[in-house]
Amino acid sequence: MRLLKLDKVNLLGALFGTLSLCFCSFLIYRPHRLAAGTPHYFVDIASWPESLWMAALWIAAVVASFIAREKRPFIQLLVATTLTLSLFWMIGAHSSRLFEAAPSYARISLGLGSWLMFTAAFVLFLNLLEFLRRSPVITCLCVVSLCLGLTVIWMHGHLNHLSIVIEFYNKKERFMDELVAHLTLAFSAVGIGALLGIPLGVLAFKRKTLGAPILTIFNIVQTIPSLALFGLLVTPLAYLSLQVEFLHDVGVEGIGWAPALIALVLYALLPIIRNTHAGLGSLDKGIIEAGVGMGMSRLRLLFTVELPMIRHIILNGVRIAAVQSIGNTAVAALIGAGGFGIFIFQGLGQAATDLILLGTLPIILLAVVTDFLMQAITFLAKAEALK
Amino acid sequence: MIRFQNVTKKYAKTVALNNLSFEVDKGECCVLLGPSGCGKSTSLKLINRLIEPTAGDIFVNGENVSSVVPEQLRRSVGYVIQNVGLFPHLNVAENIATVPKLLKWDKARVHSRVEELLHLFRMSPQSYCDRYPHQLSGGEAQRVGVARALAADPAILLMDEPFGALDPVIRDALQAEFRHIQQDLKKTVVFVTHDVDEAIRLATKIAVINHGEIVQYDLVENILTRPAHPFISQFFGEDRALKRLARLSVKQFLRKTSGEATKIDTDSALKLEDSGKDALVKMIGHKLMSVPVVDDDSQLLGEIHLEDIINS
Repeated sequence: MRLLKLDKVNLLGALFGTLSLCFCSFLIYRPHRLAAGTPHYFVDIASWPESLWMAALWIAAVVASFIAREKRPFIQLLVATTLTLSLFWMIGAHSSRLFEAAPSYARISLGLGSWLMFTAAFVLFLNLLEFLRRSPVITCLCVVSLCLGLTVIWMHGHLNHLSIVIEFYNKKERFMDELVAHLTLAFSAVGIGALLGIPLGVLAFKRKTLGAPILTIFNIVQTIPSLALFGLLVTPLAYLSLQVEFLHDVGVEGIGWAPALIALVLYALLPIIRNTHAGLGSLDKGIIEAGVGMGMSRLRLLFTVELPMIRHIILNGVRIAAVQSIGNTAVAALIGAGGFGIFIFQGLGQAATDLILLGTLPIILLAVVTDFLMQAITFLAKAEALK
Repeated sequence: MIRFQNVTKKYAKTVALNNLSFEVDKGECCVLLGPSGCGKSTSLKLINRLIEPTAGDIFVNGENVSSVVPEQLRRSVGYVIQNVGLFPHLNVAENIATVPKLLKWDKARVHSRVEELLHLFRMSPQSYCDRYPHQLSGGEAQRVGVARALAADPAILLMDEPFGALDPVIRDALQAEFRHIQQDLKKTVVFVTHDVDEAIRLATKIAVINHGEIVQYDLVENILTRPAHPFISQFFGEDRALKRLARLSVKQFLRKTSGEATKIDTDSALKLEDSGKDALVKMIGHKLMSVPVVDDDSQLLGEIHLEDIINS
């Protein structure tokens, strides 16, 4: 029966969320920043209508996994959106309630169950691109209402008593600076990577003798741990900066943005080169022969036939490079390039979990959003005929 | 129009073509026929310099192709390949416009040429211009492929097993259509195939190639009646007499009736556009030694006699 077509991933996420709600700690209370915490379970601190509401939502998510694909987008998406908003609302409400009864230096952070439920809710959103294809209006409405709801909850100050939010307000200006630094570094690396990687990929394909060396070199680069690569670049760049005045003037030094950018570009190159190379290799020989046979020059063939036909494959490489670059940029903080890594390493130094999260969460969020946007762009870029 | 002069092509140790010399006259359809791997496709690609010969010269319009810039040469020669090779990311109109755009025709001229060609292949521009290749049937795609090759009105058309991948019914229709169009356009065509029936149907002259050498190059009629080599008799099969009959029109065998015209209505009658083979089929099917021929209004024109067919 078509109505009972199971979405296994969705079901797993929903069950996971249900169990997390029942059996894992919802919030953790610590008398002060460095003290050990006491867990609070949702069923203990929530009123029975609240418990009923959350349980009902997770069960709805389980049920939604069984509904046929044709009908699911609406239900699944609606459940996921409501769940996420409710989760934020509950966290806000109960953290505020706990906070009121506590001294002002007490900290309330998210328990294991909350994190797991966020993960589970994320799993429910995994089909978002498919939803977008099938019912674009409903999907956009849901995404917009999710963003609006979150903004309202945030602006209302509902979450202000959570320790990570307190940490955010303590470091607000720094946070914005690092956000800009992180994005600038990660995306300029991907931009430069694409500008260099696509021609290199074409070159690797067209000149077989160059192809193997190019791919091998960047395969090896990819295996160097990011921290090692950053470190390797410090000495030569410091030397160059001393020798060449121009480099010194534009701000190239042994540490800072220069070695970080170079390393990130090197990492971004492999997926872009490899996808361009593989994309060109996947083209039908007959089409190329027809193009040549009709008198197209090599360049013309490349720009009007070959590259347009594989643009979605290249963009997919750029997507991989972008997600990877956002993650790698975290490490760049260690050589003074800034970015969210700053908070992570500060937090590690001070054993302050909330500070680590302040660095980690935005990186995850950026990576997820970038991944989704790039997937959407890739889908749109795929030539109509090839869909 | 096209002349091969002692052309040899070697790959490493194998000889693909050995000292090939032949000439195709203007307006002829020359079919290169042979088993796969015999070198017929190689010969074709030598003409538009997709492959360069090891030795010998090829002349197009009296000009040695090696002295022409390959891109220029290819733009002046239409080229159709077996798996169509339409650009999947471009629609039908853009596909057909490929060569005119390379030649920098202005938009209006390209547009009217595309419509003209689609009309020629009886495809309405309104419904086909914006379609993508994957939205076309095999037959439609190959029509567009031929239209694309004809776009810049080249004097020469090279066709490399263009109908090979189509099912028999559609292949038959496209062959008929191609013959029809060729009668009007009078292009000089070099056509590669391994299909004997196709060759007999479309060719003015056939060059039978085997192991990189021309076994016989002659008018179809001569090849069928006077095969120069056992390989040819074998390749064309025992029924080559029937194949030849299929090419001949009943007009050739017609014994006109004298006297006034009479109207006859019988399903054993032949029409003027039928072939000698059709006549034979009717005779066998109706157990007759002769069959009548009628025009479109069922007016009796004359008769075909079995002895004439046998003696032809």
